[in-house]
Amino acid sequence: MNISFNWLQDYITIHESPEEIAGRLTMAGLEVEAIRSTRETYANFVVGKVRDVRQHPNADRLTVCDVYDGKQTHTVVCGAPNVATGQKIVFARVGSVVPANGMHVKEVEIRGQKSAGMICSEYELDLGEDHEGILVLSDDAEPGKQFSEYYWNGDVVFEIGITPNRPDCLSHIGVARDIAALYKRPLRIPKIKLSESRKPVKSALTIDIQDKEHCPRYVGRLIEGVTIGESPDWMQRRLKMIGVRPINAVVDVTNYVMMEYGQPLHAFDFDLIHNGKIVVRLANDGEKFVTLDEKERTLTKNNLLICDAKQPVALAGVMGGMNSEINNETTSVLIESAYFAPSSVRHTSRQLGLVTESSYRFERGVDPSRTAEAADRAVQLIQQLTGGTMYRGRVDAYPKKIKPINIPFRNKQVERVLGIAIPASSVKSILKRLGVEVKESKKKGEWRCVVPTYRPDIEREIDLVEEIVRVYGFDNVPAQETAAIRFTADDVRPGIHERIREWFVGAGYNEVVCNSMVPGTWNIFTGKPAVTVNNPQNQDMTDLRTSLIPGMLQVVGHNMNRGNHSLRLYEIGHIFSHDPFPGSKNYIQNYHEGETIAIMLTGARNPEDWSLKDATYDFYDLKGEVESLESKFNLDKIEYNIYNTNSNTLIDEAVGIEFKGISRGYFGKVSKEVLKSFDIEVDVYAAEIDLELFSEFSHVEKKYSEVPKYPPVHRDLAFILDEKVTYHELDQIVRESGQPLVDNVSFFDIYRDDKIGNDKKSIAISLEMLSKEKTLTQPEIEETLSRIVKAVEKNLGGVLRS
Amino acid sequence: MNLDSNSVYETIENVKTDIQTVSSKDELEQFRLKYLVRKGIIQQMFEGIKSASPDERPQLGKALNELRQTAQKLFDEKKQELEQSKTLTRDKLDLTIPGRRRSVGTKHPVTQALDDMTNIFKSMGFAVALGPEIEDDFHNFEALNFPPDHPARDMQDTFFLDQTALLRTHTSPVQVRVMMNQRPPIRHVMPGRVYRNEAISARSYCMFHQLEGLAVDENITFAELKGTLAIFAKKFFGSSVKYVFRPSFFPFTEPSAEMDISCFLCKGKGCRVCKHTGWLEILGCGMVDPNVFKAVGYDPEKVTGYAFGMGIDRTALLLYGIDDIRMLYENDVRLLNQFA
Ligand SMILES: [Zn+2]
Repeated sequence: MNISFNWLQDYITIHESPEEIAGRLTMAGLEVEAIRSTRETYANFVVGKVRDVRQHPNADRLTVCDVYDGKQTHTVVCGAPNVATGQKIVFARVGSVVPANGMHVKEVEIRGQKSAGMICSEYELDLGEDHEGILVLSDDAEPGKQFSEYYWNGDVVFEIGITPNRPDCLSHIGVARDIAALYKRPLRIPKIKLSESRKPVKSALTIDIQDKEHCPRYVGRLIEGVTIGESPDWMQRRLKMIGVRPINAVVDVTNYVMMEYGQPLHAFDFDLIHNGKIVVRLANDGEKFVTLDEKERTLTKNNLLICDAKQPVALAGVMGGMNSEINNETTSVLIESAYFAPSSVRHTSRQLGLVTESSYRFERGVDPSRTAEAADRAVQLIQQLTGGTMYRGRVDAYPKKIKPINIPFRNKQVERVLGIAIPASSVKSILKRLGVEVKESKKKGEWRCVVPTYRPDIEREIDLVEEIVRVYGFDNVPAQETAAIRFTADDVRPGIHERIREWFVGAGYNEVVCNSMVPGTWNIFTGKPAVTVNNPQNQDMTDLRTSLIPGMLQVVGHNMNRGNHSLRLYEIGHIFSHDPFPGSKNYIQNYHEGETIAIMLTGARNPEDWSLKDATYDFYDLKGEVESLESKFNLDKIEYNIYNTNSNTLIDEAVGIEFKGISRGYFGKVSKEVLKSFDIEVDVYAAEIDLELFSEFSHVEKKYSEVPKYPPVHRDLAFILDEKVTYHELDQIVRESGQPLVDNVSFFDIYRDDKIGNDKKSIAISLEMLSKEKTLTQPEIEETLSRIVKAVEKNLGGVLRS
Repeated sequence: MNLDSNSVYETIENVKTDIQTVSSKDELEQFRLKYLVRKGIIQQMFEGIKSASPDERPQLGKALNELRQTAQKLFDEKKQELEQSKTLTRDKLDLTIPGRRRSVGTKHPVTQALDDMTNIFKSMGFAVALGPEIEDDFHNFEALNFPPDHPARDMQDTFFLDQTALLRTHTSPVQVRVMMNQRPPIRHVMPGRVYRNEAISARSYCMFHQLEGLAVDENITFAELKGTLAIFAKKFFGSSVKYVFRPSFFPFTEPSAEMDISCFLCKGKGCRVCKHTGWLEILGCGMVDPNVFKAVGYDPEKVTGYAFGMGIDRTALLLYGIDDIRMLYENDVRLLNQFA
């Protein structure tokens, strides 16, 4: 809401600077987001006098003018056809900035002629559309006077962010009223004196409200013999100052009164209203209506219409119709001032996507007690501006009277909520200044508060508490830095997210954060039924992600394009589907949501280590990362299986992670087709694991098991095996046959060559043997080794490689 | 030669100092010639035993043996070291060659800010609660006192999934879930991701992160809310930070406030970032509205509560001096690596 500082002073006396008032308003909940001063906007724009106009020697359409700016005379090249000697004009000195386009006025040479400054058009000054000719001021304008003073009287505009609960401040009187309460000053509401004719309005106008729920009050006033023309300068300036475009005197008056009282008005050409009759009713489903913006609207039975005897003439509270608007031939004007139910106006406005100054105010709630006053004010101004004769009286249809509400109020609630006691006398004084009438009640410690109708936000005791502290000042409530806490049994140890992140940070990963809204094409890869957004912002954000991997691939692509080729990334985030999946929860019907951890590796295995520079990530790096992560969180009984990629095509030759018979994730090399769609030309390895696996099954409790007292003995063995024999099989046989001395078996090499033979491989393993009772002897070791070699030979056909 | 065990131990110290200055084969040879050869210092000392008194001799012998062993051991070690370093770096280590490093892990700047903030509240006795990102109208709006067809809903542009399901526009629905799942006392913070249908620009993105706070008990007051947030601000932004609370409006709190802190970039003098006001808006807060208590089945006559919520991403941008919010979600590792 734009509020003119000068305009405010019609209603309240202000001695303070604009900045001071702005600060006080902000601290009372009316946040002044910006202060625009005409002195700044029009710095270096002054009234000038054209002393001489000559033809430009090198350009037919240009003139060279001598302009006197109150101090000296400047030579200026001008292109306007209407410039003439003796005119008073607006002169932009060198160094000024043109408000309309931000251009800096400099000393320039135009076709060989020096030009120091500019004679301004209306357009350049941001006052109107006309940019053909220069703006010619009246003769009494005094050269050298600042334009901001001459035209704007040095006015300042506050841009106030009015919160939805404060419709009472969507007007100059409203803001003045709050200032009056804050500074304990009287408010001056305009006194309206009307000179009416003898013709009673009721003889010409009838109002029939058929739906009093949606329209509790409708006031009509008539004025005839009006000539439509421009509104006077003073009104145009005020409207322009707050960003309202002047149209004609009648429309300008309706806007002016809206900005003054906060009451939206509509002016009809009364000659176009059939039978002088206004009917307020709901539309029929499918009914059509053309609004002022020349658009045909199809309505439903929820939209409230203003009609005449024959047809709709306005969408109640939102916009008038083409068929009855004020035009140049208009002579009789019907002024509508009404109170429409907020939810009804909001509904129509949203349904039609049509937000107007009027709908904005109605849906927040206008003051039902000033409906008639605003109509009076409008006809008074119309008469003053355009002549015309007022009918006597008004038609005031008010079938559903809205009374001020009465709230029981206990002053002890102030202390209970705020933590500070405010004396009853101060509380009463604040409430009174806000227009709240405070009455004693029969109940002890309780008052009855009658709230003015312009404050629809005050409905309950707590709302009064809020008003009291707003005026009392939040600063005056102490910040209590002690609290008596009742302890709860909630776990405040680091959560699973924090512990997992700790591991990733220690393991040298960069965490990435990606958008959860993704293009639909990405979800095809996972085969999970994707959740779609009804109102996506664009085609790249139509779906919710069913996997973290595509988003991370985009990150990989982005980094590759910027020369970052070695990446070690992880993300923890939510994924969504219409179908349940491991770890998903079903908070909202039809939607399943879970959290996963994704790992992505590509490029050099360790670019920071020059001795390993050339090694790039492969499958076993990824598997190792997954295994390390799992062992960090003490997850036992994880099984790795071939992952079925029929539906999920993100990964080629994927390995599934299974825990207690449930698939909890997968990993492997990202498939070529998927990489192609992200324009990635190198291998990328990715894993995605359900977070619930960690949050639910990680062993938190730690238990010590005895560390062996006697040193272990290490022996390496290498076996030549058939290709089809897996390492897992070898490992199992060795462990079984090596009992009881073999404590651990680890892989250390795999080797293939022609000498070994086709379809053969050599696997080298390292054995750790120990006894809890004693140091092992050579014969014991040899005996175990030969037992292992025989078992491998017998069960797997493996031969010991010498 | 006059020999006593003190001078032997002195010599042991000399040996240790001398070996440290050895950095080449030649120097090592010097060392050997000085101590270990037949005419070296140690052998000469052994000769001296003879002139010592008989009862001193065992002790002296023991000390001299220790001397000889030490010198020999240091010599052997140094010899090995020199041979090894020769194969690697010829004669000397080039200390300017970078070591074999491992990559340094990072938390995303948003996570980092979120964790730091969360931990401050944890230290003040708050527990952590989480909730879903897909919510329904009840949890996201209605229970939080946004009636249907109310203009307050315009404050949050919403992504809808169907008639009632939506992407949560704030973390406040987690308040509703926490209150419905347990009884007071409640003292929770609720970090998470939220979505707003706002045009993407340098200043705003379609999703961001919030930290929500909620305390409900018998004697919770606005004064305590102010105190709690003041402590938070000092811990997070530094103890010299100034703050101010000004009235605002949120449907789910009454009274509602916004907390501004003195701009930590210009120390309150006014700069581009704080729009020359010297202040930065960091969070919204207020006393839990009685209608919210009613929606979750609490008696507003019995309990009071406060709630607060802050946007993390913009604060992180200010804190780290990043001027385009979109950079947070592009995840260029050269940016991420700055947050080690
Ligand atoms: Zn600043």
